[in-house]
Formats: sequence, C-alpha cells, structure tokens
Amino acid sequence: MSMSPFELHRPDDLPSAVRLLEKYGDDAVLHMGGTELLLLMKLGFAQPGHLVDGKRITDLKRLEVGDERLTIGAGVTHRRIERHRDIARVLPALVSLERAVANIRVRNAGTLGGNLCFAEPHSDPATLLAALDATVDLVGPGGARTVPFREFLFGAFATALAPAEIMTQINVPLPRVGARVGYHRLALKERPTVAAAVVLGDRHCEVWIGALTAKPLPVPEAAAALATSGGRDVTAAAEATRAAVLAVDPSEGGDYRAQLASVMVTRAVADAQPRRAL
Amino acid sequence: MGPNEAGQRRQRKDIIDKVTGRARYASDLEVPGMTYARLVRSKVAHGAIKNIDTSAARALPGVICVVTAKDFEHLDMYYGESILDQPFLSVDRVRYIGEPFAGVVAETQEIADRAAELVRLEVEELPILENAAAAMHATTLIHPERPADLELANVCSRSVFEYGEVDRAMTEAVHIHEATYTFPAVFHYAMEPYAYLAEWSSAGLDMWAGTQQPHKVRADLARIFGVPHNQVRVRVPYVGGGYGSKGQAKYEPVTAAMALIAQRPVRLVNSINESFHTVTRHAAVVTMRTGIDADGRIIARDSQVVYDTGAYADKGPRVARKGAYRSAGPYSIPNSRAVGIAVYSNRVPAGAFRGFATPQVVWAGESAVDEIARHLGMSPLEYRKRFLTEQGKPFLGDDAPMDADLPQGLQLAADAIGWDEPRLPGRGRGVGSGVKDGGGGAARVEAEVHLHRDGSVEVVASTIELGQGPQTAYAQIAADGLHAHFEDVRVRAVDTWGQRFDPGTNASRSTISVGSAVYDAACQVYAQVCDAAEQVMGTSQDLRLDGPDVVAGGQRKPFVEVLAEVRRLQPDWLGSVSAIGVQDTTKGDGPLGYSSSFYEVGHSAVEVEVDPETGVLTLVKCASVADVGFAINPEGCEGQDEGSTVMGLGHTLYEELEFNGPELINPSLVDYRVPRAENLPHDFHTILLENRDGPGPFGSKGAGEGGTLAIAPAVANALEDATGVRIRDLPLTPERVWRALRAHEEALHSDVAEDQS
Repeated sequence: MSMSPFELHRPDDLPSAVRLLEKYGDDAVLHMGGTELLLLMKLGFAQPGHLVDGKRITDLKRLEVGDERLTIGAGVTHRRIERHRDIARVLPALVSLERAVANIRVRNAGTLGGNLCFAEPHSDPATLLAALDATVDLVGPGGARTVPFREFLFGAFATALAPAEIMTQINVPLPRVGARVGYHRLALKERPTVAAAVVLGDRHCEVWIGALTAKPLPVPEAAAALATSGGRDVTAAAEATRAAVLAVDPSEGGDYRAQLASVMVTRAVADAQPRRAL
Repeated sequence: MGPNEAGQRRQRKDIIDKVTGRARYASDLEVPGMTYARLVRSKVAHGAIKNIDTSAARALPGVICVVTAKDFEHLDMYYGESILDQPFLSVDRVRYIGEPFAGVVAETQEIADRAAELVRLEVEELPILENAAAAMHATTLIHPERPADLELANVCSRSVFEYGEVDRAMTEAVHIHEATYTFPAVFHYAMEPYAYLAEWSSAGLDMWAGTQQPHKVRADLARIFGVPHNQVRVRVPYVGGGYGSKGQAKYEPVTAAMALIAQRPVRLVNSINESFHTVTRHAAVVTMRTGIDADGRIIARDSQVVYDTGAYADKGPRVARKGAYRSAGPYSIPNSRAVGIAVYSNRVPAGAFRGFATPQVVWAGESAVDEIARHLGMSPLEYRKRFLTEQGKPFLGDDAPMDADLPQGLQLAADAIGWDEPRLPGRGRGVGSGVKDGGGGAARVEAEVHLHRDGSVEVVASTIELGQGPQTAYAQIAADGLHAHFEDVRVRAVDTWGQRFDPGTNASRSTISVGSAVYDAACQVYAQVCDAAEQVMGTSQDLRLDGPDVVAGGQRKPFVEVLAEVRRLQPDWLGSVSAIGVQDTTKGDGPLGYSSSFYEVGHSAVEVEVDPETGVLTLVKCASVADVGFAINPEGCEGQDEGSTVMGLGHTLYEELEFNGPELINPSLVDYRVPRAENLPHDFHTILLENRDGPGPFGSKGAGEGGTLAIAPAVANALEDATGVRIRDLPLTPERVWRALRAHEEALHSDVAEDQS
C-alpha cells in the first residue's frame, strides 16, 4: 500500500502546533519520530490529511535531572535517554529499559512521548513509569494541565488526550536514596510479551505488570508482600502476581502468561538498583 | 592442474551495487507510458463467485482498466508445475483468503490502490477446509475436477516408494519405534516482494520478472497467450531473495494479461503482505515407524507424510514425492516404504522452499533416530556414525551411491561444539544429519564465454543472481578456464532472448550444471587462444591472459594484435573467441545418470541452554558442516550455509504461519518472527568439507540448502539431552517447552507417588 497524500506542517512552538491541531481537527495528527504512525499510514490504518510535525518545537526536547525528579520532554528520543549519563545514575532501570526498546533505528527516531501517546499495550516505558507514579504535562486549546500517568492511559491505544492536546513532558519522581527500582521483560516477538516493574522502598513498594493487559496492571498484593518483608519475600510476590494475572487473563495459555509474569517480578526484584549520587 | 582462481575468497561482484542501493530490481524499473497495477484479493476462504462488481473502480478517474477472468475467456488461464490448477485470476471459485480475483491498472499507484478497494466480490460461501487434516476427511472438494483418491478426500497427489519387504522386516524387528512429528507452515521472507513489468508490442511480450525460472515462465506465458517462445522475452534483473518462492510462474501471467487489456506497459509491485499470501513452505505431519534388530540396526521404516499444499498444487506434488523418497535417509535401510500425500486445503498455497520437502522428513527421522539411540542406551553420535550410509554404498534403494563421507562430516560438527567435553548443568547437546539428492541431473545445459578484443571476458549463463553468488562463482570458474583475472570477467544478467535454456535456479543445481558448462566454454576459448598464440608468438607455454595482453613463453602481446595477426597469417583460421560449453547429464552413465547428481549434506551440532522458568531455549553453540566437495568461493559457501542454518533456526524456534481457521493472522514483518543476529551464539561455525568428490568444477557440489535440513532435530535432541523432555512439534516455542517441562515434572512426581504408595 502507498500512503494517502497529506499536508506536512512544521510549527516552531507549542501554541502554533495546538492551533494547527485545532484547525484541522480529526484530520490532523501530531507527528514525532513516526515509528508507529508512519507504519499505520503505510498499512492504511491511519489516513490523516495533515501531519503536524513537532520536531522543531524546542520545548518538547527538554531533559532535566533534578534531585527530586526527572523531567523528560515528550519529544526526547529513546536514544537520548539511553545515553544520558545522569539518568544512568539516578534511574538506571530506565536506561537499561530504553536500551532494549525495539532496535537502534527506532530508538534514534522514536520519542518517549510518542510511545506513551500511542498507548500500545506492549510499551516498555509505560510499565515502569506507571510503577514510578510519573505525571505527564499536557497543553491544549483549554490551557495546560498535569495528569498522573496511571490515569493518562485509558486502555489499548486510548488516552486522556483531549482533541488538539499535546503531551509536553513527563515528570518522573525519583525514588528516595536507598529505594531500588527494577524492570525486567521477555520479548518473544517484536514487542515485549510480558514485563514487570518494581519499586522497592522502605515502607512502600510497587509491582506493575506490563504487556499482558490493555494498560499496565498493578499488583498491590505483590507490592504488599514485598513491603512487609523489606523486599525479601520474593516468592510471595511472585505467587501474588501469578494469582493476579490468572484473575484477569482466564483465556487459553493464561497459566503460562501468569508464570512469565511471576518470573519477571522475581527477576525485576533481583535486577533492582538504587540511585547513585550525581 | 588444480584451480588457481577458484578456491579464493572473493568479494561478490554484486555487493557494491547492493550496499549502495544502485542495484536495480523489477520494482525500480520504469519505461515510457508505464502504468501501475494492484491485484484485488479475496477476503473469503472458499466460495463460488456470483458476481464481481468493478463499476465503482472503473469510474475512478485515472483508472485504465479493471480486469477479471471474464476478460480472458479465450485464454487457458491455468498454470502450475505438474497440475495446471491455478488460474491467474479466480475463474468460478475463490479458494483461499488472499487469492487474486481482479486486477486494476491505473495511471498512478495511488489510484490503482484506491480503485482496488472499490471492487466488490459477491460469492456463495462454501464449507471451509481450514487445513489438510480437515480436508482429508471432508465431503466438500476444493478441486472437484481432480481425480479422486481411493482413501482420502482432497488429495492433490500421492506418491509411494517401496523397496525390500517392510511388513516382513517389521515382524522380525526386536523393537519398533513409532511416533508422529509435526512441522509448521513457514514463510520464505524474501526481502523483495513479487515485482514485474510487462509490455506487449509487435515483437511480442517483454516481461521483466523477479523469477527463479525464466524459461519455465516463458513457456507458461507462451502457452497461456498463444504466442511462440521467440515472441516472449523474460528478463531478470537482480532478485531480492527467492528460497523457492519465485519458482515457476507466480504473477507473470496476470501482469501480462493486464498489459494486454491496458495496451500499455504495466508494472505490478506486490507488498510483503501479498508475499505472505502467495506461497509458503508446506506444513507437514510425519508418522514414522522404525524397526530395529538386535544389533540396533534399522531394518525397516514405514513413513507417511502428509503435506498441506493449500488451495493450489504449485510444486506440492513434487514436494510430496521428494519428501516421501527422502524419508528413509540418510541411513541405509534395507526395507522401506514411504507414502507422501499432498492435500488441498483453503490455505495459502505451499510450494518449493529451501530444503524442498526434506526439513520436514529429516525433522521426523533425526528425532526418531535420537529417541532410538537413547532407548538403546547408545550415544546418539556413535549410533549415527555406525549406521549412516557409507561412502560409495547404494542409497535409497537403487539410487546413486552415497558420494559423501557422512560419519566424517558428522564427527566434524560434533567436534566443533566440544561433544565430549563435560556438560554444564541445564545444558544439552544434540546432532542431526540430513541428506537431499541434489539437482542438476538428467539435463543438458549450455553456457557461453566470450573473450572480447580488449581481453575482457563475458559469461552468458542462465543462472539467476538471487543473492547466492553465481556472478562471482562463475567469474572465478571462467577465470580459471581462461587463465584470466577474476576482475576481467563479467557475468551477464539473464534474458531468455538469446540466452540458453536452463530449467531454473533451484535445487542447488547451478554450480555443478551451468557452472560446469561455463568451465567447458572457458577451456575451449583458452585452447583457441593457445592455438592463435602458437601461430603468432610461436609459443603457448604457460599462457595466461593479463588484462589486454596474452602472456606466454616469456612474451607479451596484446590479444587484439594476436587476433589480427592470426587471421592475417591464416585467413581460414577457424578459431573463435567465443565458445559454447555443455554439461550433459542425460546420458545415464556414472553418478550423473541417476536422479541425483550429488548428495547435498547438512550436519548440525548444537549445545542449548534451557531456562526452566520461562521455557526459553538459548543456543550456546552451533556448528554446521556443509559437504561442498570443493568451495569455489569459500566466503560465499560459508555465507550460504550460515544463512540456511539461520533459516532453519526459524522453523526450529520461532517461525510459524499462524492461522485462525483459514485466515493467516501474522502476515507482517512485525508479527512474523524470524531469528535475529542477537539470537545466534558467538560460537557459531560453518565448516566446509572439501573432499573434491562432487560432479561440478574442481570436484564441487551444490550448496546452500544443507543447513536447513537437520538443525531442528539437532536442537530438539539437545533439548532432550538437557532436560529429558522430547518435543515432536515445531517450533520449539518457550510456551511449548515450558509445558513439556511441566508435564515431565508432573509425570516424575506421580511416578514417585506411585512408588511410595
């Protein structure tokens, strides 16, 4: 199939981009790396008449590593995150996750914001960002707002983005000193088959399973088992994960997927690393 | 005298064009007045056509024509290899999802694509036979016009091979091993989709095609359109991978048909999705009984192989015949019976695919032999070495004697992975051997070599450059025959106008057949140059061609002058600077008179590691031995063998065309998973065995398919070695391995429980 014709707009700032998206409505799409969008267009699944290219908007390319939080512009590429030395110190799990996203061509072009807004259920970063309780900043015709990432994702390919709204940045609260963050996934096909993200704090833990469900699945029972045992009772966490996945995935092969999820949790805990000083 | 140029590692002649993007494929071609086509494909798996509404498509501005079978009622629309059952556009029925039933020709590709979506097919749906198992016992017939089989429904072909007395031998066996093995349908994954350009003129049909069999295509086009061969020109530019998928006619007839109606040149470039809906490797179910005597020797084998050939025969009958025939190898089994059945179903047609029918039966045979060796308490390696067919001994009943040293090759593969070294826990090792009778027998082929006046050399040979390297190998062969430099030889692309007949670039046959003709032609030209040099220079001692010069007996003279002088000295000099070489294997004397001109051998040895928690099987070491007789371009041979091993790893661990009923659900490069570089171990070797015992130039044999033959059983055998679990279904996906491990563990526990009770 050949792509249907479209008009390309290349605004320099956010207000212009929002105006263009507003003007063309459903016929316009924001375009960043194009690693998902162009594929859909080639397959004929998307036929926008207007592409609003956000790559000239410098506001989307900010990247700041603070003491408390990490701020990543929605237009920052996977490759830039993967190679960022400061992120490697404060959140090594994100860097190792990014290193394994797709392949180097995709990582060179694809952006974190594009990945999250596409809301593919097999997204690697979505699972970790949900576990870390990140927030996302959005700007649209009605102004700016900040939404918890866990609420941003509605389901498969569905998000809280309103018409003509653009994700501008992702705010990742950094775990406290001493807390550990781990991510482990198994990719049997092009995209992850199952993934687990864990945050192991003094009093509070998080366990999230990715790729099996329409959006990342929290497993509070597993998190509680880890929290009450100081991160040591991995077996209980793994079994709680197995039960949680079986409960939401009763279809054929669900027992194998539950097994994989429990193994990924075990391995994510084993992989979990604390932040290091900048 | 041994070869000088052949045996050198040479950079491929086509590589610079290919890595710089300059190489031109059919989809790159443009001619004045060219139009663009798109085929319209059925979304129904099985139906009787009621109506095809093309009115909306025709009404779209820029559409030149929309064609259906109704436009070609005066033609014989059917093609195929041995059974002409496939029309180039559906005639009265559609038989699989993806079958083309109409074609749109337009001024631009975009218009053709849009118009194709406007064509409506109306059918009366027929019962869907989603695979061979369903079709064999159905009352609905996919091809009611085909003769009925006595036992089963929808049989496309049935082949039986029998020698010795199987039933008697089975009664004498002390142990009979019986098991059923399954093999999935897989995709060729040629990088270039199917692409063509056709133009009719007063000279006839000019067809550019990415094909492996231009002369077969020419014959099909001539028959379908009722024109003589001399009015059909098939030209083949670079082809981006074939692996069997571009054998016989594919979309050449429909492209020519569209060009006929459009009265304009038509280019048809299909998508990869459409490649998935063109041809596949046959899914197969192999049931094998093997009888063993008290010494452990295999005395009888009884096999049934059911190949799912999909909606049309394609090369299915030959696949079923060759698969049955090869199911008794690579051992000398005195009593063997094999039945190969190709069965129609409402799936994408299946046809030729690297290894041709053999990976399916070797998967069964080499798994079974491993199970037998373990049952006997013998080392699977030693067991095989003891019973593999000996070199020079009769093979497969009365076919050509085995021309390879099989035990030697297998031992080399085993040594390469450290077979005798201690195993780490969780790891296992396995081997497998496969043998396939090679192509190139029973044919007369010719090739030309021309020595130009400036000393440059042109080889004209009808072998397609599919990426396997004939342009390089033939240049080496010709350089040797002519005592010329490799750099001065060019091999022409294939064009049926003016080039000699060749059955096709397949079955690993080109080097030994066409390559031998190239060598013959080069030697003839060399003899003529020597003759001229003796007359002009008074010597032909150690004659060689050094660019534009002839060098002999310490003298040097430009070839153009030698040529002028010999003709002046002797006006009736009969010598020429061109020659036609011949390789004739039709005479029936010696090994080439058999159906097999050589045996293509693949030995695989692997070490695997199994993750018991996820079922993920990782290759730690992998060695493959290719018995190539003599490697003309060693780098090319290694590349071919590595490539075929990796391709075999696909169906071993990852690849499977997945169907929901009759519908293919993973026809894209994202969803269809092939092995990647990261899946290969660092310890990955190809070993070339060069005993100079083949029929090709310098003792060479064909190569490039061997690696696909035995890799799957080698891995499954290693899995059993590591875990005690035997899996008889491919691919060995993590889920399948995990389930087998769990079942195995549960069985062990219940055994323990029984012992305790």
